Amino acid sequence: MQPASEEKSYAVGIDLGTTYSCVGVYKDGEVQIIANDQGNRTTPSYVAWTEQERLLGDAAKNQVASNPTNTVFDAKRLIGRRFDDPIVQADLKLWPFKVVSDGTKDDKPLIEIFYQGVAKKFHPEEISSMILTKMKQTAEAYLGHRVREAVITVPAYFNDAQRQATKDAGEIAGLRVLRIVNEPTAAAIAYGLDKSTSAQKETHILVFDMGGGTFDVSVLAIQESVFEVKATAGDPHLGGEDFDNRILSHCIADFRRKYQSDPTRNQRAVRRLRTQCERAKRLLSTQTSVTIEVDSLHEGNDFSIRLSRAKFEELCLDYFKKAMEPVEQCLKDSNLPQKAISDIVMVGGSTRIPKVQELIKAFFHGKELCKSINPDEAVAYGAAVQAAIVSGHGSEEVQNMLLLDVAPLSLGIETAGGMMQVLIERNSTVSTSKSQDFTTFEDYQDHVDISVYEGERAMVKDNNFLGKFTLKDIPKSLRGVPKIQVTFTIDTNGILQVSAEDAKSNKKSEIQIANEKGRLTQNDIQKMLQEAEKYKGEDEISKGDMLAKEELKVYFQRFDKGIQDLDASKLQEQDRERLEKKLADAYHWLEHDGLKAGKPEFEAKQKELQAVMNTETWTFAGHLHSALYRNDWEWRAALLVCREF
Amino acid sequence: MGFIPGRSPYEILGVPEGSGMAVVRKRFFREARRWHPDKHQGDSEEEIENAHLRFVQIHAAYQAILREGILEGPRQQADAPTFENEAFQRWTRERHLE
Repeated sequence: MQPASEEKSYAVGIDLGTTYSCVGVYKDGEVQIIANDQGNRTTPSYVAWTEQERLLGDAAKNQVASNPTNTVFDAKRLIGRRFDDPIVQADLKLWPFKVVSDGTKDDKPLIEIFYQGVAKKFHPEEISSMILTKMKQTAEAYLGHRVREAVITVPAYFNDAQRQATKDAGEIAGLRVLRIVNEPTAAAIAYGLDKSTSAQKETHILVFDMGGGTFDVSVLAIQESVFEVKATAGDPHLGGEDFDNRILSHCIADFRRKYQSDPTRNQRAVRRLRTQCERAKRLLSTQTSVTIEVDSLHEGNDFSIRLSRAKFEELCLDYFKKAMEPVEQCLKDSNLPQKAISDIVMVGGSTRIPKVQELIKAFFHGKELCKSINPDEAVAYGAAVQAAIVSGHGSEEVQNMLLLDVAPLSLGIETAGGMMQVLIERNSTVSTSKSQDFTTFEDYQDHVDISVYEGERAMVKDNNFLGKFTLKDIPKSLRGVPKIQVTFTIDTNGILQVSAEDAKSNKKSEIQIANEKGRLTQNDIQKMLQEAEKYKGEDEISKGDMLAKEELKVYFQRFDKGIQDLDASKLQEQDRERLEKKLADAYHWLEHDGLKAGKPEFEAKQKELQAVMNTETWTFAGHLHSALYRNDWEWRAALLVCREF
Repeated sequence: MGFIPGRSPYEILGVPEGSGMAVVRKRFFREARRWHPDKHQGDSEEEIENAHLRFVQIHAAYQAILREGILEGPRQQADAPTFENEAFQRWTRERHLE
């Protein structure tokens, strides 16, 4: 039992994205989206290992070009998949980091990196858990309290294995996962709170959620604060990164033509080029053409290419058109005519692309799109509200809300001739249960194998194999006599659970289910949790150093900007040169000695620079005031330092 | 989805036979708020299972009425829909939910 005066703890909502993640918390009657230690409200879903330490988020993404093979991203594209999955095999070719099979019959993918001279292998769940840990820490730093519980979002079209693996990732990060919520449903909550949906009248909305790596469409009915998902459809492997890849291929082809040399084996070159392609894609949402430029890309050759919006659209048009199919499917499944949709809610970074907006608008005969919610934060916002609903916090309005979500894929078993017998149809509201009786085919048979599949095709071979359940220890009798009732339950997380019992004896315990879903065992999770705890120790030691280092870097930037911003009349040339020299020296120190330095050294260096700055002439210092000091308090502190010298 | 034989979806939801969609929906929302597993976080395992089962039943009833409305237009008679699954019925019966 926990003591009654238990330490205050919050439940947060985490949008665990393919490329970026976001965390929110419901506090004091509203949702706060929490900025990380770099001041950013979204955090790159990146983990990197340098010589000295593990980096997470912005710090990891910022050094990707110099450390491509040890910087891991896209774990969401691996999670819950097998190594031999064609999608994994195709993605492999684009990743600079190494992915191998675990060599077991489950054929799980493992990410291999080098850390302190040793090869280390991680499950995708572990990489995701590290990102979740970062989001958890971000929330803890803001709240000043421990965070122990979370609602984590997944694409609505994620399958059973991907959901379970995401839940496992949360556990490895030391979080109790209150719920796995579908991303478009979470976004609908954000929309709903914005619009005040307690109205008596029923409204239908369509959520179009296209992010960095996944794509979902959901149709919801909203009435009296009940959010009822009518249907969902999507593509778990379609998003902004695919568009980046198309631009990248276009650039590589151009480079080959210009220089008759192939940069694809040069990981650093590809990474640098990819970063510029991503940037170009973003810019093309607001401007009609951009220049992609990388100096000395490969074998000393500079690369530059002009890319128009029209060309970008041409490169990705098949993807954009493909995205309209789930929209049509979703409307059909929800039994609603197009005109019944009162709002089209656009979520995810890729919905900023004008062509995507144009196509969906055309699909709805020119209907205006709803852009009132923040496409990057809506999912985390809704997840935070759901965390408040489930944990019983939150205002009356929030407590009154109810989400009725659906299972995205049909669930069934293999019957004679390899046919799929559907037990739970797609778009069934969760939670739901369905039972089926099984019997034996042979006299004295003591076990039955049941293969479970998900998917919409008639033959199981065309669907996704989920696992095999073996019913053991069936009481021996003539064939056809035993009656074993197997119940499939999909919980509110969209995760399948199976139970079985002998109908004759009514004793559950007499039938054993051997679970072979290829997912992590509780044992695996415990081991990973311990491993993660070990890292946490290492992280805490280096975290103080990291913070001091980052603070010094920021000070450098402000120092530099301050000098540049001053015109010649305010600063004499010789003073300027002296200051620039000081700064250059300090940079040099950071690049060399700074690699081994700790918090005290960084702080000392910053004081040293501050002192130099403050002993300069007063007119000069006065002009630097605004550039260098964030507030008066800092300014006064600087003056005090100045007097000491 | 499953029902107890002999009980119509209206009976399960607790509304008069042949009630209009507005009444049915309102009642379903009320019952769903009461029995959805989200509203039973932290309850005992038994209570959660009970809530889950209740939710499945009221949702099935709601769906059946909804489907009828779509397929047949205005409701003609109050026949209980047929339910395929004997196993599920037994499952619910054993849990004293009739």
